[in-house]
Amino acid sequence: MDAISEVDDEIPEVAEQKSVYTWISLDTNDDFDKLCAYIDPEYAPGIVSDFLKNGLSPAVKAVLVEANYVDKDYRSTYYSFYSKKGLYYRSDCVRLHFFDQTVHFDEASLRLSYERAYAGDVNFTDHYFGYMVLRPTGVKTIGRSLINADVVLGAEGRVIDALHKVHVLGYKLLVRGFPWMQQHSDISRCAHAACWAILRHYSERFPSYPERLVSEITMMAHPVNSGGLVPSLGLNVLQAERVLLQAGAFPLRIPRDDMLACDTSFYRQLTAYVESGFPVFVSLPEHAIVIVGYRWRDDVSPNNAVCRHAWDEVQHLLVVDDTQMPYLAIPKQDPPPDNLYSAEGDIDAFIVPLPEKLFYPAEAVEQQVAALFEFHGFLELPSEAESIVRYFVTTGAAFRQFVRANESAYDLNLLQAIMEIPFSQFIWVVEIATEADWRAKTVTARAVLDASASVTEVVPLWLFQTVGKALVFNREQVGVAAIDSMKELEFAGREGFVLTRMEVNLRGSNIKE
Amino acid sequence: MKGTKPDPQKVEELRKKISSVVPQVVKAVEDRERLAAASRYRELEGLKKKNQSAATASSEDARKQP
Repeated sequence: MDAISEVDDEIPEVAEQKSVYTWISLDTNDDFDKLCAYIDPEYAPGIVSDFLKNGLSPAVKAVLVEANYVDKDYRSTYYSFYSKKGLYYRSDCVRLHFFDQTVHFDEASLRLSYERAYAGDVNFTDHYFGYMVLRPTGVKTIGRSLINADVVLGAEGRVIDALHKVHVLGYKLLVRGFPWMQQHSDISRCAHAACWAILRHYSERFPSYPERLVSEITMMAHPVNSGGLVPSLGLNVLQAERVLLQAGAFPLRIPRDDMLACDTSFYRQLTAYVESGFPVFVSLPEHAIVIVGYRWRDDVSPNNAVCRHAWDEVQHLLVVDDTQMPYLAIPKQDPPPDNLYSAEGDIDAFIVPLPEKLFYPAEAVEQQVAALFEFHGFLELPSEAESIVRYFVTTGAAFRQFVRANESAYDLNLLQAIMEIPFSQFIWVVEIATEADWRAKTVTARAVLDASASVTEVVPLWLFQTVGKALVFNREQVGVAAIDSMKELEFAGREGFVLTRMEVNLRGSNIKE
Repeated sequence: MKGTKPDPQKVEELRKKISSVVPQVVKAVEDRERLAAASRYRELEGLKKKNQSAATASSEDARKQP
């Protein structure tokens, strides 16, 4: 017993522990500076505070600071890199959670409360805007983050996002968003951060993709496993392609044709894939980002008597750039110094990580558009010169779901045909609209193409419809040309009905003030 | 499958018009693939040069060892 007493005497007085959870109410965005009082310097709270002050909308009214947070992505790099360094790095992170003004926190019971909470059915999801993990690395400390576009200043448009589960204080919160983090600057660079963001979105959105941690992604860029993480000077497009391929995606690389004054096809394909809900890895001079959305122009583009494509109607793109807050708007043309970069000035190439069974590229669909206008003898179509064409990939199931939700606009025979067509898993939808349609978010005609078709097929159609008529194609026998199997369905009494524009892959952001 | 067969003459006219699209589709896809292959080749060459210069530097270092 005496020995134990001696040991006890030698134990220094334990410093007062900071609370694991701290609630910071925000009257104005300047109150983000209060983070500096609660977060240790290795997490760079001052720099983080500046990011948040300038990037988040005033709808964020409270931050819950969660200390001692074990972050799987940081830990993956800690075990394989930071713990091997002479400089001491902590193993834990800090996580910041963002709420609106209706959510409160009780320090004694560590309970979240909601103004209109009712017993047993508390749902904070609509009042929770996401989280940001801070790494103890001194520089570039913003790690895995998931912030709803609705509270990011400037994120106006339509974004690719997914629902993510967040566990905190015994609550399971749900938040929509696209993953984002800063590069580590030593073991991961901008291209690693871009690949990580895409792969984390895929693993959350689609169960068939496994979760990949930052350290794994860093290793996947190289053909040989060197046995541990080493500082990186960055990736080229080839290495990013390798990462996405190893992660189970089927990356399609589209370089811009620099021999052309403006490679319009390049941008049309880019729009088509983003419209399809595929986040696109983009190579810029000395940088890499992910395109996750776009905003349409306020009014339609000028009519130059040629067929217009969805790209012509894009106002700006929304990107995830590790050096900026997520959902950064980049213009099509205005170059620096007003903007960091522009789409038409700086994008050299992009990689779209496709799923398996998508063999018919956007390039082929673009070429098929002209052939679709040749069906004017069978369907009432606007001329090419007065049309705006938009095409994207969706699943046969999502298409049927869309038709079911809008079934009042469909004749019963067409509805039956759509439910019975043996669609491939992925289909291309081509929508043809006039200017008036575009403004009203309707279309004149919609075609459904087989996304698993061969590029040597003549118009691999399943369906081509207007309000009053449809052409249905039978693709159940190899060797029979699509048009030989074509059947016409005509619908009487459809005056006054319209075909609604199909926008199912991206979510419109609704910036909260 | 419900529906009626369209006028065969109209179908034949359509066939003539749309059959020319296939060579255009194939050419466009192949041209883009050639561009992608060329950029992959340039990047591989870049990586090879980087690795060669690193290997040369390390072998020179090794020779300088006592």
